[in-house]
Amino acid sequence: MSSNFSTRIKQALADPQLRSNFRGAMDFLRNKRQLAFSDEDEWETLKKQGAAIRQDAIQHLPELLMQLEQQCLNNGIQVHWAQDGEEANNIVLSIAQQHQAKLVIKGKSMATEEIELNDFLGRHNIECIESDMGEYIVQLDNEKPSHIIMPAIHKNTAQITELFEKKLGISTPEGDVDALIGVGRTILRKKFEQAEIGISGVNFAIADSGTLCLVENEGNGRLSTTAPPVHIALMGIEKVIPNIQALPTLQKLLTRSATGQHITSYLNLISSPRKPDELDGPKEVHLILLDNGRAKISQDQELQSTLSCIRCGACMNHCPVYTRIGGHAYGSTYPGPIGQILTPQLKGLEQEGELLDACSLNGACGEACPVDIDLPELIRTLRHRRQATDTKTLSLESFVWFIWFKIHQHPRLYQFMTRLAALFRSLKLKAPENWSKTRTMPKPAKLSLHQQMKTRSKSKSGGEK
Amino acid sequence: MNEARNAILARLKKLTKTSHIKNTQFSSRPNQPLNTKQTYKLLIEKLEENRAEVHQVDNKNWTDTLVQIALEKKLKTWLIGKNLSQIEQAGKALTVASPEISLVHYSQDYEYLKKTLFHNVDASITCAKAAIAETGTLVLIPDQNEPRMMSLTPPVHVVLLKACDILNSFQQLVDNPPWSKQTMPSNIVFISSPSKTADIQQTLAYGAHGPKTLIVLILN
Repeated sequence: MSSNFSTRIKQALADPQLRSNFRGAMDFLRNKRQLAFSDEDEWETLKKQGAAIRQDAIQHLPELLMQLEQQCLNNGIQVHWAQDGEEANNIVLSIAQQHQAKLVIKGKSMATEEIELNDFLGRHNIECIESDMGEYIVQLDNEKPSHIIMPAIHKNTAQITELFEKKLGISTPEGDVDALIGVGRTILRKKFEQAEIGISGVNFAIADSGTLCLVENEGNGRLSTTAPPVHIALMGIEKVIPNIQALPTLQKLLTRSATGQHITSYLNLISSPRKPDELDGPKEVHLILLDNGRAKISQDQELQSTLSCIRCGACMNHCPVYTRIGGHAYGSTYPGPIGQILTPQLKGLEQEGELLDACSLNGACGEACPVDIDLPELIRTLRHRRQATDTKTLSLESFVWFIWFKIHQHPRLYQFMTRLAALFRSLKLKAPENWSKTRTMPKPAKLSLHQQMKTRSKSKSGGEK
Repeated sequence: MNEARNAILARLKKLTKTSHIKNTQFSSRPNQPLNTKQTYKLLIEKLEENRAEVHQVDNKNWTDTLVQIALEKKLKTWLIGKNLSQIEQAGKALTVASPEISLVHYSQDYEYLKKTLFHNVDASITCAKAAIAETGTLVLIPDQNEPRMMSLTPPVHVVLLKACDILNSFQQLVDNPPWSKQTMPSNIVFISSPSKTADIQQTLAYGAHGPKTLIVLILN
């Protein structure tokens, strides 16, 4: 683990306010999810269907994407392909420049976080304002989201009240969430009115009808994609699904896993820009299909299921590590278990592989995943690959495990070693301090299990005679 | 442009395929078939759970209920669509009921109405094309008669729903959609509650960006 990552973890663990904010939020989300899936049979059925839909779509990405492209074009949606973040950012920039846009309003989108669109547009003097309440709060404090569904989950009401007072000069009564939301509503309404471009993500894209599905509660996604004259949607290429028949299952899995809601306030299906006889909606709709490392993942049989993810956040809500260190400690766009497998694949194991260390392999994420991604197995696979490529930092660890492996491979050696351990059992070995602070050093037993079993079976057979 | 497309598709085509696209029938769990009465009750239950106000009305009295809502909540400026006889009927009833009530007709492009839509309307009334009982969801298909913004900017949104358009499940809706399968409408919106957020310390607050109040009139 690099010093940066472990420093961030230490800082997070030492911040009682942060820890209590996360603990409270995770308990809340877990309970809500559990209630939403109280019927075990239904959960299993939905999960199986959801996993099948996603796996099948990943297997057929080229056909589905070409079909999506064709249908979108037929519907009047302009389609762009971007191999990486830079290409995607430049596509957005060139559209913005064509319209001489100075103000962009954005609905919640993790893909735009991934390519760091806000900063990029900012450097080109285009202001990009987040309109999701959580994202707006985070942007106001120059931070990044700490959770993929609830971006401002690391802050409590008092901290947000203080932030609004400091940054906006607006004071609201203590603990009054409605007042805070009211402030956000008023400020952002003006932006919706003025913005020349609206940007959104895509939850699912339906290939056979060229339809973009957006799931949300606030209405900011609908406003961002309706009020400005131009709408740009950015989606990872894995988000495509074959047809609308597949949507109900995925919608149920997504919203119930994310927030425990059976459905969100709004499910918005966009299939075309404003038609000649229509009175509102954007006059132009652009869809950017972002690869940024995804196609490479799809070729890897062992890791392909990473792309099944529907970004519900259940894995982080159930992760004991995430619950304790929070989202920022990971230092990546996607935190928690999905971030631990996705980030090293998108950015390289050498660079981001250390994220994999922050896992106890307890398996909670895998059980919570609504599309049956075996996250613990993927974490193990990536750990193995990292170990195979990294010769420097892991050499001592690899050596120890090599010895351990050899001992367990040869019965005689194993017996010899356990006898040796029993013989020197009274030796007081010193364990590393970090480990022993909260644990007692175990002491080998006088007799090994094998020996105990031997004597036991001897005395037993003797007794019967 | 095409370069990126070709490169991405070339990378994707390397992946080994295991099968053809399955055309699985994704029926959500064997729903107990609900009868009309149960479906109706379930829809109301779910809508109310999600903070929508539901009124059961009939062809004769529904405009009275609407007028009553307008007077009680002091909703003076109403945004209405065009070319729909029921909506025109509602507009007439509202203006006759009180001289204080006025109508804004959404009959020109959004750009001309923008200021009014964002700042000067108290309520709107639109029709639902269908409803889904299992989640308490209204299905709206905005068009030239009832544009997209009507269900978005007014603080109060009233939806008129015919009881005969209520379905059990989302799956049932997509299997027999109230739109043409050849050409999808520009926009379809599923509405299940007033606009809301829990982004501040998981505390639920209504009226985040869209309507603060959602009222459903179910026409029997």
